[in-house]
Parts: sequence; C-alpha cells; structure tokens
Amino acid sequence: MADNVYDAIVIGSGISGGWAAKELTEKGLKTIMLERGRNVEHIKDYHANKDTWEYPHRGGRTKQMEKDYPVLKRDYPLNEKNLDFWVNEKESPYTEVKRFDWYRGYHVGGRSLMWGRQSYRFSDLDFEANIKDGHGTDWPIRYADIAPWYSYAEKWAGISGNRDGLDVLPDGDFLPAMDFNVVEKDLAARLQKEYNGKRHFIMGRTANITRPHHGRVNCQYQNQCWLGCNFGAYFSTQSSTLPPAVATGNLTLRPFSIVTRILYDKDTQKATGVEIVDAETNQTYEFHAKVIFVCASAFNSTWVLMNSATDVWEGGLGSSSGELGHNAMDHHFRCGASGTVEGYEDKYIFGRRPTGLYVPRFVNVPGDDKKRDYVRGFGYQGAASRGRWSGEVAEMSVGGDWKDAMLEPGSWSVGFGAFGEILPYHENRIYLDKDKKDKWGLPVLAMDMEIKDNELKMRPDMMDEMKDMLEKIGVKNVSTYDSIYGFGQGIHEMGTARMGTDSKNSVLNKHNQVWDAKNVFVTDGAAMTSGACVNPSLTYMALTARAVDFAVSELKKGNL
Amino acid sequence: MNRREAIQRVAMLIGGSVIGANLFLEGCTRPATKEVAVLFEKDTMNFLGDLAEAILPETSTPGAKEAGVGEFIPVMIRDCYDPQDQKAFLEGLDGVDERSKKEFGKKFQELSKDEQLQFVNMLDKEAKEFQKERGQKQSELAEDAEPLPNHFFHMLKQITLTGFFTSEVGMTKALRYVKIPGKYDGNYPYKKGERAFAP
Repeated sequence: MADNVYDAIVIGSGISGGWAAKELTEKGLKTIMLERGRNVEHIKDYHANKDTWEYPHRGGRTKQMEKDYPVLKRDYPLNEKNLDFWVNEKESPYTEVKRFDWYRGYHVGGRSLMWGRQSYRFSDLDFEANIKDGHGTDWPIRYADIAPWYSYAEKWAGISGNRDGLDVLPDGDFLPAMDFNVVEKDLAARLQKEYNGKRHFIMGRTANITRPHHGRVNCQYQNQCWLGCNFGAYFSTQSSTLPPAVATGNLTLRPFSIVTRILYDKDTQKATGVEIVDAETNQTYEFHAKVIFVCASAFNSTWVLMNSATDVWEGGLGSSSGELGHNAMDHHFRCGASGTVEGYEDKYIFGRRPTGLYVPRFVNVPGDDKKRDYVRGFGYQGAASRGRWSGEVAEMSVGGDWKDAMLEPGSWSVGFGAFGEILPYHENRIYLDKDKKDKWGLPVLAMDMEIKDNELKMRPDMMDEMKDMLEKIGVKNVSTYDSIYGFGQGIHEMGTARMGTDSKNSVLNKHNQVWDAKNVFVTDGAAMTSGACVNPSLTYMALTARAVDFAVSELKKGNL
Repeated sequence: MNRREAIQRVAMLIGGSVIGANLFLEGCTRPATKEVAVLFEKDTMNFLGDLAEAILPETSTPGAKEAGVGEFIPVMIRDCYDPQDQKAFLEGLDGVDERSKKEFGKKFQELSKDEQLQFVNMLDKEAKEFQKERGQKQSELAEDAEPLPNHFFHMLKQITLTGFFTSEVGMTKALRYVKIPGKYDGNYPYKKGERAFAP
C-alpha cells in the first residue's frame, strides 16, 4: 500500500489538472495525476506533420464516423484529422433528458490540446452580476482576489494580447499581440469613431505565444493548433504545465485511471484518497493522499463527487447544500452577422493567424444607455479575411476560365459570432443515471438543462447589434444568421459544484474547497458561480493556482 | 457485372429491408458494396477523371485528373454518401455515354475538349435546376424524413472541387501553399492574377 501513498492526488490532466500538478509539485508535494484516458506525448502523438491530402477523405467525415459519433457530428469536432483527440462515444455514453452536446477529450492533456485558446479575465461586472440582479448566488471572491493569480497564470501560460484599457475586460500580463490585418485596422478605427470610443474591435487575446517563452517556440502562423503544435506555441498541458511538473521529480502520471470515487472518512470528515478502475485491465486500485484536486472537467468532476456518496452524504460528496449538480452553464452562440468589404484589392494576407478580433461586451454595462429586455450580455469573436473566389455565376461554373478565377483571392469579408452569458438556473442540472452504464459499468450522467427566456431575448440583439455596427462602418451586404445553439456546444461547461459564500448555498468555499470535505478542492469549470460571456479557461488556471497556494499553506499549518 | 446491373442491386438492397440497409452501413472501414466497388475499377476511375477534368481542366496549372480526382471520387462515394445518393450517382454515371451520344453522337471520352465542356455545362445547369426542386420537395417533407437523393452531377462537381483543392497538386501547384508561414502579414501586397494561398 505504501506505494500508493502520495501527498496530493490530481484527478484529470487538462487545463486545470495540469496547472494543479505543476503548482503542487513545484511546492514540493509528491503528486499523482490520474488521467482516465491514454497518454498523448508532446509532438510524437500530434498530427501537425500530416498534410490534408494525406487523409483518405481529406479531413472530412464519413458515414461510419457519423454513426460512431452521434454527438460529435453535431458540430465541427467530427473530422478525420484529430479524431483520436475526441472521446469514444460508444464507450462513454450519457443521457440527454434534453439535448446536450458534450464534446470531450479523454486523454492526457484533455481539451487543452483542442481548445480555442481565447483567454480573458472576468471583471467585477461579472463577479458582482449574481448579487446585483439576483440570479444565482453571490461569488465569494471579487476581481481583486483573483487578479494576482490571473497575472501569475498569464505569465507562465503565455497569453498574447494588447492592453486595451477597458473596464469590462481587464488587461493582463501579455506577450505582444498578434497583428490586425489592413481591413480590420481600418474597421476598428471607424468603429471607435462611430461609437465615440464606447465599442471596440480588439485583437483576440490568445494562449499562442508571440515570442519564445519558457523554452517554447513562438507561433509560426499555421493555424492548425487543434492538431497539436510541434512548436509548443499554444498553451496545453503538454507544452506548458507538464514539463515543469515532471522536472521537479515529484510527479507520477498515471493514464488509463478512471477515478470512481473519493474515499471519505466520517470521523475526520476528510477524504483519505480515491479509488480508480484501470481502464485497460478493469482492476481496482486505491491511492491515498492528504489533499485531492478534482479537475476532471466540469461535469465529470461533479460526477466524481456524486459517485462518492456515503451514508453521511447520500447525494454525493459536497451535496449538503443541495446545489451539487445544479446551476449548469455554457455560453450560447452560433448567431451573429457578416458582410463584405469593398476595395483593398491590392492587399492580401500572408500567414494564418490563430486568433481573430474580439468585441468586448457593451450591453448592460455602465455607459450603455439603451434599455434591454434581458440581463447580462455577450461579446463577439470574428475577423476580416480575403478568401478564395468561389462564386457560382450562371454563365460560368465549369471549365478552365472558371477554375482560373477560383485560383485567385476573392473580395474581403468580415464576420462576427456572438457568445452570450447563460444565467445559473438552479433547475439546469446533471445527475447520475443509474440505469445506464458505461463500458466500465459505471453510471453515466444525465443532462437536463436548457436556455430560457433571458438567453432567447438576448439572441436577436446578438445579431442586430453587429448588423448595425457593420453597416455603420461601411460594410456591405450585411446579413445576420442564427444557426441554432445546442446546450453544451460552446464547450464551456460550467457550474454544478459552485463556489459560494456559505455552506448552505454552495458546494465550494472561496478557496475552491469542498465545504463538506476540506482537503478536497474542485478548481475547474464546475466551480463557476456564474459564467460571464468571456471564454472561461484562463479563470480556471488562476483559480487552480490560487487554490493550490491556499491548500499547501493550510497543509503546512496542519489544517488539512 | 456492368453498372446497370449494379444499380439494380443497390435498388434491391435499399428497397429490400431495413436490416439490409443497416448491414450496408456496418463495419469499421466501410466495405464497398459490389455496386460501389465498380467505381474502383481502373476504367471507371479513368472515366471519372475525365469527367472531373472537364469541370476543372488543365490550364496554366494542372487539372483535376492530374490531381487524382478520378481516384478520390470512388472513396468519397463509398464512405461519405448515403445509399440513395450512391444509387443516384451510379445511375447518373451510367447514363453519361448515352446522353453524350444523344447530344453529340459520340461517347463522352470521344468528345473534343470543347464538346466536353459544353456537355458538363449542360449537366451543370440541369443539376442546378434539379437541386432547386429537390430542396423545395425536401422542405415539404417532415423534418426527420430521409434526405432525397442528390443529382449525380451535383455530387460529381462537389467532390471534384473538394478533391482538387485538397489534393497535393491543387494545394501546391494550383494554389500557393506555405506549410509553415513563420509570420503574419495582414498588409501583404497583391497583384491581380497572382494565385491565392492554400488554407
């Protein structure tokens, strides 16, 4: 048994788990990181070397793939190029009480390998949102509590961006931003002028490094991040948090380790360790430690807590408040506006930039005079670009002249898609479906959540505001779109084990510590008390580093 | 077995039973049915290559045939299309020479380049009309209704475009391909006539 004793256990190896492992090992704790899936080795297991023409279907999807991946096929993730980065849906099913799209990555690095890399700080507008409009419960922290940890995370992860000086989107410790293209630059200037400096097209802040950074090579503008980057130019567990953790000599990484439950001791009211099933051998093992970090991705972290039910906590570890599994969130999107830009025919783009423009939230913020019939707000991601000519004209749509025309760049276009906040509704929840089992005989999650009136009222504005902006700055042929959002499609699952001010209203305290078991910390998306409208991963990094700092100081004081 | 026989078999398989249709789709790598397997015969791939070449011919840059589109089409039809589309594709392909004879008095491969262009132009117009009507019909059906088959030429053209622009020839010899750009320049000079960068 002694072999199975560590100072700390980290469940999960994605963005949050990787950070937990790095911080714990650097602070001297012997740590085991348990990952349910296979190992993915940096560079060796990536797909960046392979060209499109080397794939039999050129990266597309086959009918067999659609059959095997009924969820993935609902959006872009189902493709031939990085299929092995996505979960096997047959082995790991779940129950959709209502439609829920769950895009998972069960392997070392988790979704840090495929993530969108947009990295934004929450502001006090976000941390105070719940208390001000009465939806959800109050965050137990404010911006000042997390700001130093945002800096800490940014400095290691490497976030490129400009310091734009906007209250709604606090600046960070950035590497130099990527460049605007010529059209974006002009449109951004016109927007500033039209809206008297109240609205902005800023460069997307992204976890792609723009100069060498902690031994990693800067971005080479291939924009193939989700195949894995041989340069380590975007943040992932493999490129950024795993190497320093390994370097301490304190880390044990164990792939194929599905944590089935956290072992809880009633007398001490603490966890003693975890039980796992080996995904390859089906053998059960126990690991013991003084402190446990649950970073299995939002809903799977909550699954681990729920599946750790005892006679003390029948609803699972951390269920005393009645909030475990509740207040599930995502970002709703897939609507926006686009149009064409005249001129600039003597300008083109060299290189493929792995980020675009960002439009920080401008609705329901100080200075927004318009009355809105919804609370909270949205931001936009988009870009201007010059694609290939692909026009279908009646006179010419086959033959050599047509082909030659298609080999030239077309006109410039610009488009933006909005990402909106979803309120933390208590009734949006997940729970264990004990009637359905996965490949290992474990109960699966049932998803029961939907967007409601507030989000539905926000969506027309998400289209119309952009349409107005684009038209005001001279974009032509502006049209809006709403391609219908399925809950989960944002791949920003949040909530279900929220932080709060009191053990009666939340699962976690202000240090991400489970109220009911103080040596258990949950620091991924599960912890979120509200979702804001910005991409959430940077906040998980900051919360994780902050929680480890607290946990280790408590350990030293003998409080855990 | 000729293509006409093959098509009849597909028809039987589809019309025959639901179980048959399911079997049709199973397996790790999708086995080609005998009918679709016809597409992989050397002559057929050559024929497909010539059709694709008429859509995207060699100009100052290589055409679809050199880009291997004739070999790519069977793979796509086998793996990426529903049985009703496979059937429509095989039927359409089977009718090409007959139609060509009717219009020009010669088989497709015996036509001059100009005649081939005229021919595919004609099919293209018909396909567009067909697809418009198909869309209309589909919209009148229930939302979960089986998709109606696409026009043979519509599929041929789509796969030709995809196949060409994602091929090594298409990406590196027709378009400009820079695998590792190393930098981003959003104010890059462009002169009319210069080719686009591959994505």
